[in-house]
Amino acid sequence: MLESTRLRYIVKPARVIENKPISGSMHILRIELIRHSVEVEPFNFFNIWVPRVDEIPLSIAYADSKSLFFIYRIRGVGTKTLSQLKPGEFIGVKGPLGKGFKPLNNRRWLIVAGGVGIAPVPFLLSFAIKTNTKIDVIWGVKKSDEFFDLSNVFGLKQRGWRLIKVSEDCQDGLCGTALSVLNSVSINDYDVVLAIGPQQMLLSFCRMLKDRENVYVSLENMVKCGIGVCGSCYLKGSHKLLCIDGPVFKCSEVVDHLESSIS
Amino acid sequence: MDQEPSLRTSVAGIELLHPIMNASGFLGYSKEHIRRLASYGFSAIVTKTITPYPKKGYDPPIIIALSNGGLLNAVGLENPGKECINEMVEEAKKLGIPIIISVGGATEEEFAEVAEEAELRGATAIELNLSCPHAKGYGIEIGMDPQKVFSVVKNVASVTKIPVIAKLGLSDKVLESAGKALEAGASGLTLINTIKAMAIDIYSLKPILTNVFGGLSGPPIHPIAVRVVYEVYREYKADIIGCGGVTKWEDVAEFVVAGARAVEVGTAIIFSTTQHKFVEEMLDSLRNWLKMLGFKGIEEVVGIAQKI
Repeated sequence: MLESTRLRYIVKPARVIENKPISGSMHILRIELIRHSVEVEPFNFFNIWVPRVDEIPLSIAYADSKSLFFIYRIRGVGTKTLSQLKPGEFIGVKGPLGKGFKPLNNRRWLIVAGGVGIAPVPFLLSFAIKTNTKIDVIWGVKKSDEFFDLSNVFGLKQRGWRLIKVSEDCQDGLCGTALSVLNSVSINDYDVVLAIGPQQMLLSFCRMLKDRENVYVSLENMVKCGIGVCGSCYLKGSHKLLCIDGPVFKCSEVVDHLESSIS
Repeated sequence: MDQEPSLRTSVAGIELLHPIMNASGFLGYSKEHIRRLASYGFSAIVTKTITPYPKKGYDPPIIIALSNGGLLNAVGLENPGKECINEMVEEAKKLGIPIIISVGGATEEEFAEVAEEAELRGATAIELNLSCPHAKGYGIEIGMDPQKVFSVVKNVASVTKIPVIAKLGLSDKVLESAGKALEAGASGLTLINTIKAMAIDIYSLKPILTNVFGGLSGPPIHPIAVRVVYEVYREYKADIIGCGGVTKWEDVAEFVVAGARAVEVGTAIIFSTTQHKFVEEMLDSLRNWLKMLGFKGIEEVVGIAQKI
């Protein structure tokens, strides 16, 4: 048991296979591990080591028998340098980190994704197809050029899931934000309602649905070591750590943390 | 009915329900961290090293596992400064658990400043970090110089009444430094800290840690730590907390018979998939071991392996 955790925490060498823009604001990275194999679940994340520059936590976007895929946005020097890596170059990955969060058989899930919050969704959908869970995805972006073709990129079957696109520039899909669409959805139809995106959006989401049990958020940011040692990702008012107990939490577990982080 | 052997122990004047506490550096700078550490079942909590003012650590990667079973870190003594001591001590008191503030500094005065704050807020004891192998000017440079050890410990011991424990790292002069710490008024010693080390990725051909060098912990350093505990106990019969690569109950037992009255655990619990049972399971095994050998309590076997 001790062995399996330690292996996850090793920085495993990997080769870049593909690394390119996928939409107006997002990039896709595909890598192959050189000597290791890993078992990954939806919402696991990896710390991507860009040699001598940074270690960046990224959600798993998709995985097949050979490759791991990540979707990211350029936010700083680390992701900027990552975006400049060419196929054939070497990086390292620490992970899978965090707890997976995956559907049981025959459930109905609603996913509310803001911007690059869509990153973990393709892998989740591939699990849902296997377990016969139906997933509706509301994906909101600021500018409609941020959208990319979710099913084509990863070859997902068009079965058991629906995508509702929302843009603030009103050029593609519905007009508004992901949360504005949520108001017109019948929440009671779903076993799980889960939001992924910027903190402000997650806080509004938890406030909107605060009386319900089955609402979850997948938190971002804050992760430094990724293995529960440095303590950077602790949730205020709780003994939980994002990197060990998360990234998916019930709204009731994190609403105090979100309130105090944003205020 | 046979009575269960007792695991109660005391070290540097601190009464402990059992000998297993956490090693400094594993969480420990907020009340939330203290709550989490307490939930693991440690007999006392040792905080992250606290400096007088907030200290920014290194950029990631700061901590990585190694294929040889060890863990390598260069966090860089990141902490929010001495202001965080109050909430941590309050939380520990609420939970009824002794709390030892790990104290760091770049000068004698800085060590004393944090130590005074710890005493003022009601901490149980102080552990002076004289041995961090990767924070320049804050660690091993002090611990490997017996005279510097003497003056830092003396300076702190003269301004505080709570127990002062000196944490020393591996160096050629560790025996001498231990003697100087005790002479200067330390009530106990924590032996040893992580050992300066590095890891290189052989594909990108680059060192992995941002700081290049870090401190090695975990099973690879355990036999070295046992040797240091054994030698220091043989020389001074001091109160010792054994630290370095405790992974199984046998490692606790080995430290104790070498001369430690308590132990600190870090890496093993980080790698454990059953973190909340980890300490409890070791305690059960230790009781069984004492029973099998016919001892009534763990204090009977402290340093017993010195008789050869």
